[in-house]
Amino acid sequence: MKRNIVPVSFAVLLAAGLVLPQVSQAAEPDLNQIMEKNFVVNKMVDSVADATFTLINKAGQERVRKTFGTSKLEANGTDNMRMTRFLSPPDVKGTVSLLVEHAEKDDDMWIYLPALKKVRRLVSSDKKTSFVGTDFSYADVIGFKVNEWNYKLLKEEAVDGQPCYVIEATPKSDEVKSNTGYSKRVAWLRKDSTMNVKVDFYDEQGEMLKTETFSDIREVDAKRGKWQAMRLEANNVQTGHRTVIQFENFKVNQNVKDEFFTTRYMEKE
Amino acid sequence: MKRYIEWVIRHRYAVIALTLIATALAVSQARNLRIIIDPNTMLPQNHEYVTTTNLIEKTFDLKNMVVIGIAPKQGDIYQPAVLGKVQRLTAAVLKAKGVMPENVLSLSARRAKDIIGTPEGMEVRQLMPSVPGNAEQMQKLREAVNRNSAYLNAIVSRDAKTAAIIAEFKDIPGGFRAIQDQMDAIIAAERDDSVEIFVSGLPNYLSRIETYSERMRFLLPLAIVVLSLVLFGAFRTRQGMFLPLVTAILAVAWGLGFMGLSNIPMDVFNATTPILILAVATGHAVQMLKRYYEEYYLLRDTTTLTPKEANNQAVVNSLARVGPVMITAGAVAALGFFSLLVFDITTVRTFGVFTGVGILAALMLEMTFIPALRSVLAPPSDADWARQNKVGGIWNKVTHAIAERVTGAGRNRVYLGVALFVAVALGGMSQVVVNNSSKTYFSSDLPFQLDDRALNQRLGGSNTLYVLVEGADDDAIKNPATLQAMDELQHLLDQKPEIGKTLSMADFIKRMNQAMHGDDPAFYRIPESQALISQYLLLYSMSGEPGDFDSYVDYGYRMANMTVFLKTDSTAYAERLIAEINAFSNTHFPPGVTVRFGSIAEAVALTDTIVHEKILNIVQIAAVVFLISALVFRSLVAGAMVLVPLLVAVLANFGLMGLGGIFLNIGTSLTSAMAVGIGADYAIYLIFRLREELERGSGDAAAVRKVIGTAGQAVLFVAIAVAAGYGVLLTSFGFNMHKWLSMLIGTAMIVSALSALVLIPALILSFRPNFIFRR
Repeated sequence: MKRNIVPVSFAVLLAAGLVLPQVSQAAEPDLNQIMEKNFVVNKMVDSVADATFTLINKAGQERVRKTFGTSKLEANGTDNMRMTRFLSPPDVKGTVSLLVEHAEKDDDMWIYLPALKKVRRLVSSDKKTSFVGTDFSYADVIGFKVNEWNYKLLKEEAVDGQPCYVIEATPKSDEVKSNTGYSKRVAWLRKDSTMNVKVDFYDEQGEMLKTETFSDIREVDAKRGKWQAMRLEANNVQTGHRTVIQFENFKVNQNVKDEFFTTRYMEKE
Repeated sequence: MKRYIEWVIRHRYAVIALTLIATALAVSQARNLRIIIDPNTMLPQNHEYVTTTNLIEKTFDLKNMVVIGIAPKQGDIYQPAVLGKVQRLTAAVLKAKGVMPENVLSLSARRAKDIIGTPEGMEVRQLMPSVPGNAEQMQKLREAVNRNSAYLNAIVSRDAKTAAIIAEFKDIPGGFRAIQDQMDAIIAAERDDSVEIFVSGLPNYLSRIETYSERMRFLLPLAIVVLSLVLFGAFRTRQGMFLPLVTAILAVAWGLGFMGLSNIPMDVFNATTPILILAVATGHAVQMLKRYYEEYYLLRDTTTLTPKEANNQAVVNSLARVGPVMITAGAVAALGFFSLLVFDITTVRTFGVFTGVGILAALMLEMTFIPALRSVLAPPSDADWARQNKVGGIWNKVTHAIAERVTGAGRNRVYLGVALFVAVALGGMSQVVVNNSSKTYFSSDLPFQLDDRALNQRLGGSNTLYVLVEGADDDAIKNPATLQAMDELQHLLDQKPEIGKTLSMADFIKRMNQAMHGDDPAFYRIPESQALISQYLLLYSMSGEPGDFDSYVDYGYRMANMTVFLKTDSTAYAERLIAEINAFSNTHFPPGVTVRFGSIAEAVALTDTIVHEKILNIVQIAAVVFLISALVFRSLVAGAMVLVPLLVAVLANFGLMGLGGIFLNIGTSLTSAMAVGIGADYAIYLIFRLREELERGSGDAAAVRKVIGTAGQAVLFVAIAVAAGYGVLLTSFGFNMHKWLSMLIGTAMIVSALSALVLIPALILSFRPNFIFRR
């Protein structure tokens, strides 16, 4: 199954995925402040980029998809619109997907299949399921509501020379657990940018589910303080399946127009 | 030889002590024996069906299928209570050890997706993320199941009366029983008055084979008791009862010890092998004992030796006479069994080594321990003698009658009788059905058999044939022509009453095509464009999950797996089915696409190879027996003569299978090899003794009468004792395999004994071969 779409600022949201409210203790850093910053640190106004999605099964076999994508943040400052155009492999070339995220409900998704020459609507499942066939979930991408989780600073340690906070997040209610599919997340956040470097996820039964790692982290918009990881990897330890996303030519503030994110536009080219 | 035996008698206490030490060592080594329950050890690893099954296991995570069925006693499955059970059972199965979690399929499994056609496009949702809470939701679930026909008869029966959970397990420590025990515990937690729950699948049967085979633990000792009672009946002395048994049991212990020491694993399919060692060892021991008694009473009659002196002298005389014969016969049999080492199937090699070592152990014991022990024990009393002469009656009558027929004018009638017998056996043999169905091993009224039948009546089937479709390159499966051929093949298979369900990628492509065309039934077909198929798959991936199609296609779309659910595990049926699918595939699949088979095909591979190889075993052992016998007697005629009674026994074995409706399978094919191994001994003893008597100058008829009355009687004792001992297997309730072995081994023993008794003297008298008469 080909399951690679690369909505460009997908990674941005991933990195913002850990949004942790503060459970403040006098001696500890202000977790709330860290999390608020973490939440917006990779939400750019807009972006364009080439991306390569590599899905790898436990036997080491790969499915590779190359895409070109654009994204634009909606007025609410939380949800993104993403357009992804498939460049290869040849049999899916010209396929276009349009995703409009909704933090509060099912996302809207349209897809243009060149072989059918028609735009079709695709209703995606709940937030805990796979995000477009990757090992990232919709919840990982859209983000976790700050006030729905309890937080704890486990320790501080350096990762690749960068000082990090290690923060554990647990759902406040069973509903949150069941909606996101996670009983616990443990995140390593860089102190300088609040960018996630690594996140461990635990499933609803409390078993380790997967690790997401973020590398080649760059400041893409110094003026607004926006950062982006150029390489993202999710490693499902239960299935042995992995997803690697590699961005290239990542540019922000390209003045991307709204009309780009319409079904009419999808049928062009 | 004499000097050696006298030496043994002088050092008898040392010999006995050494034997006991060796036995203790053997027993301690036997503890290290690895018992393997992996059926792979008996599979021909290079057989195409086996390599394909392994490839399917590796690529698709499909291996040992377990099916659990839940049927409410009232109404259909669309009730919260029933679906709650499905959900809990699924969750429990997912946590079981060895389960391949991504391939668990049930209404509540994450990979069970509802593909919905909408006016705008397509929706993919989990079929049942939670149990519907109201009537409206329940109705929606019903509709969802019905529009995704891929799941009908797989996880929900067509009449909606039964829901199922299908899981695949990899091999785990503890074997099939570890899998089955987990399933039984999971089911027990959900079983109540409102529902019936059934479980079946391959682990179900293979675990029962393990459990039922373990009955040998008490059946074998029981068999030994019966055997010893018969020996007591024959000899009427405690020595006559115990000494052969001691040899046999120590030989088995030494054999097991050797296996432990040399790290050769035992497998459940060799659970019956000790029988053979027991039979052979008893055979030698009884020959020796019988001769010892003869020599002892002869010495008492003709000399003035004291009982103690006569005892030691009788030990020397009997061993000097019988020892060389025993070594010859034992070497012939042991080499025959060791020759099985050239086979590349573990279980056959184990059989060969174990049996060969057991026979050699019996020889060693009879040459060392037994004479030493006998010289320590009190000599037979006069009362013993009197009793023996008295009870010899029946045995003497039988052997006397045989001797009369063979030596007299009735010899031609003997040949005629044998010819008739062979003709009947050949007739039976032509009816032999080769079938490795494990269901036939058990009575059909056992609870797990009822479960299996219920599942096969209600759902697609509890047995699987995997059809592996493979193209030359990646994306070959996306070729519409390939998918179209798969679809047509499924259509063909779905017509068959033995097939309840077929499932492949073609089902999902058709369903997506329909959904993308507003659920129009006219589009429930494979699209013509490969690009469109690729784009559907991409589309699906955007709302499905990475593992959803893992059991249907490999990652590169070069291979696809079609699961065919069968209601029967008959290998004979599977073989016909495979032939039919091959014929279809040759004309329907595009060039470069191959079709191979797995799962039940492995059982077909067993039929294909193991049974045939086991028959080859028989031929090989027979060839070794012929060669060595010919060498020992320096006569090809002698070699052929040894083979004749053995051939009759093998024919009788197959004849009984055919006439008795006993399938030729892994277990039963073993009995023929046993018959060969035992039959050779009898013939060799009789030939040697006959030569000895004729050399003494006895007349033909007198010599034959003497031989049949002595060595022949010993042969008969052993055959009847072992047959009676293994008669206890007839009491193995519910386990046909034991009953078959009991009948087949019993018949093999008695037929090989009788045919040796009748044919060896008859043939020698008729043909007067040089190796006997011109020395």
